[in-house]
Amino acid sequence: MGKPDPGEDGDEQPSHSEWSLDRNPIRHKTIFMKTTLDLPDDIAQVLRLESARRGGRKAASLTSLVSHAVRKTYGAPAAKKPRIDLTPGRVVISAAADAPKLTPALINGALYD
Amino acid sequence: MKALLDNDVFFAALVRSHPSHALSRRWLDKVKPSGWGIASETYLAAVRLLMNPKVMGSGALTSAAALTVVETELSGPHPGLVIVAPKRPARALLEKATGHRQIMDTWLVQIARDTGYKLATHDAGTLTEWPEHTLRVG
Repeated sequence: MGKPDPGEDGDEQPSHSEWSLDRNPIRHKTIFMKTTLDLPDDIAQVLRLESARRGGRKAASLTSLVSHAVRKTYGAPAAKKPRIDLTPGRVVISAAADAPKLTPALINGALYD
Repeated sequence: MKALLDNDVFFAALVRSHPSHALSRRWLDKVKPSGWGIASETYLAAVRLLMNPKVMGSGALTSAAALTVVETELSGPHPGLVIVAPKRPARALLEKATGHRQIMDTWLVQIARDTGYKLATHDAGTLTEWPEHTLRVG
């Protein structure tokens, strides 16, 4: 492998053992978790190539690539599904967690949409 | 007296998060032994609402599930009927509607009148306008 690409700040690409999600801690807000990952060479290479393919680290940072992959793989927490009690003659539906607050205006609007 | 449920009462009885759910559910459970039903329009309105993400969020039902919900409510020890209007819309009634939103309510009043039911509703305007053909829920 040749000389690593310069980083987005012009610094040299670190070896894989130095790749971390907090290379640029100044960018992180306190709500973000700062951590260090030891990535295998092949994974680091995939990330470099993908970043380059997307226009470089300004367009596709390591953080954004890893975050996207984690979300895609493990997903966001599933919304609570509705619970339906199908007792004959007495059905009661407990709406999903993200269901809107029902009002007469909302229901009428839905009937006419 | 047999009750013909309007759209809002029927849907409220089914969905716990509806602001009138507790009242509608309790009232419906109580009146079922006396005879009850819904117009075919109310049947379809309930299916539409149950399938609508704007109403049900991510829990919007498939058409098959929504139909199962409505049919299951209509079954049981005191089954409800699905009433198909026996007559065409009556001009004498419908021309009393003062706005487009009243047309469906008035049509349900006519169906109740023509089939020997009373329309069970929360709607104060309908109750006031048609006291002889309506029932207050609660």
